[in-house]
Amino acid sequence: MKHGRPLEPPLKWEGYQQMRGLVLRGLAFERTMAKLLREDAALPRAQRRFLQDFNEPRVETYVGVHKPTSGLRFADVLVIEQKPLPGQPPRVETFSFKSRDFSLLKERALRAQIKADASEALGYYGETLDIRRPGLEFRVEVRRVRLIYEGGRLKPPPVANPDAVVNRVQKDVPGVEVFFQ
Amino acid sequence: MKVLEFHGSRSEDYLWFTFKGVFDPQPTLERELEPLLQTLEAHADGWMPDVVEGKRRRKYARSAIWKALEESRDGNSTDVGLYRTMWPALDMTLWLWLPVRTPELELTINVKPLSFFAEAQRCRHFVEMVCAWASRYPVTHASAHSSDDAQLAGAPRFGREQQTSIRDGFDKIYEVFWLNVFGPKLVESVGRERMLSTPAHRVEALPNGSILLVTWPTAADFASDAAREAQARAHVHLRPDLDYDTVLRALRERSAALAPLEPRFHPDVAPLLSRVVDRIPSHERQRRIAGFNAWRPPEPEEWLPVDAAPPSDVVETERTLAQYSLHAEHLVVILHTEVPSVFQATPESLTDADFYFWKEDFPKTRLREVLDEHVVPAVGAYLGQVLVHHLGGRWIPRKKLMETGVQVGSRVWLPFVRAHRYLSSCESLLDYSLIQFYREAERHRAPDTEEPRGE
Repeated sequence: MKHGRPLEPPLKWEGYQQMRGLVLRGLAFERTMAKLLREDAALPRAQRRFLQDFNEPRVETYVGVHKPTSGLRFADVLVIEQKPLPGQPPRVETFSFKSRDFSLLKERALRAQIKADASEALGYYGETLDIRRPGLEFRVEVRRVRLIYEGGRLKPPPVANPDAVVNRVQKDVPGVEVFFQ
Repeated sequence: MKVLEFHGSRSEDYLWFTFKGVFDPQPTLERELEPLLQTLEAHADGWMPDVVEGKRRRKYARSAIWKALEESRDGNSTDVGLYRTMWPALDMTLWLWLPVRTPELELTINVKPLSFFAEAQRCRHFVEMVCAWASRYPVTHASAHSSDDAQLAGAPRFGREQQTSIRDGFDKIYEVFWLNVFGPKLVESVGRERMLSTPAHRVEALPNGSILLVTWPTAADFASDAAREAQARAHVHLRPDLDYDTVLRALRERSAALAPLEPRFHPDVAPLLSRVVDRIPSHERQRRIAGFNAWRPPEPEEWLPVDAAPPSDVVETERTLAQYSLHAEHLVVILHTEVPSVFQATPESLTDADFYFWKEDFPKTRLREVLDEHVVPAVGAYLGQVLVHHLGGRWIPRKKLMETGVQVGSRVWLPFVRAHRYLSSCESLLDYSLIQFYREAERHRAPDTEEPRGE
């Protein structure tokens, strides 16, 4: 590395790429959130934080869903009611998790980014879609899409009032709720 | 036109203003918003925007604002950004909701630094501007205050869940800020007469039923004793359920938490901690400095005296050393884009790496098995290489990484054990930093400085 010794190229591109891929952020967040939602589902309904609109929620991760407009996409989490009221279609909600560094954005750019993510989440995982998971092949109307951003040092978005920005997005993209972890 | 960054790498207190009201888009948007801009131009004392941003950026002019609002229109809403190319930095946005929606107008103004508002005249202009706006466009709530102090006050949620806070907004007097405009609903909830008799620097009834309340002549010295007393007096007047002494004590605690402190960090980790505190949001920074001033990192324990360390059990030494090189190279792969100094493998690179892992919350945001299987070997090998190259160390290869050492003087350092400990949690990144390990090894480099272990 130093002292004038000849440098052998230690890694081929594949090696770099593989290592870079392994340490990407986001995967741990998806896993943490899926675990958190499963724990939420196991609580008595009144104590739940995310899934209080379900009787008996079933939490599934990485679920293939299809829409004519976007083709096949994979929802990070899809929650489906296991005990729908008689004669009612089962309630379905989807979750999309994102890791983003907002730290340099001004308010307007922050809103544009969140709005783009919210519109995309609604387009891929919202409205009417066909679930493609074997055994769960229904056409469903998604009641709510939730977009959850990773917290920690990525958060807080530097603006004093990120909720006001979220509020503006939710007004523009109804059907999506945005959270900062 | 290069607009000044507002949120640079180091956060700092700023004046935070929000305004929520309604407007009438008939007959034209231009005619309705003309007074808003006139008022801005008359009272923005030293912080007037010079750049207008819609889809494109233009020099500030009213015509540029109409164009920006037109080109940014998206369904029933539009917005325009207003910025500055020179100090002080400005992040200002006008947001409009248009029919078929109820026409709503939101304004946010952030001016950095807050110390810019130490002058009474400048603050008076600001108050006049808000007063004129709130008289023209009926308001639900508007406020201006130190962004840091507002954060400490719990704004904007004040203990509520995010979606509840978004739905209900500022629906009761959670806090009294430097400048406040209370809309008719808030006025009614307190009682008009009572609100008008609030002890404050300025209280004024506006023509549309709102009330303007300014606690103190200047915004920048909100943390002074006198300003805090004024703030507490106004707050308990509007909230008779609260106790003056309790409110004042909480405000003074906030002032204390924001008072600047001189860093006195442990020298081994001072360069690292300085960068860490720079990265902490400004409203938390002083408390973290106080914490780090009192903190001493634990003395590194990941070493053995030479005679207690196991000798190499590896036959193909060259191949094993090449393997360490490869592991170390993996760290370069992980870090090189964000931490270019990693190529140099110097002690300074270790501080850079320490900072990067901390900034990324690495142990929490990466999969545990990836950390254990890939990142620990990479960090350990890299750390070992730095000891070898900069302290004249010598690898003592072992089949098991955790037993592998680097001999420097009369000690054998165990870089992989350190790396494992280091990456076990976000806190341990600072407790068991790479740079402190290096500094300790450096101090014990000469054999004659060695003292018996276990004193």
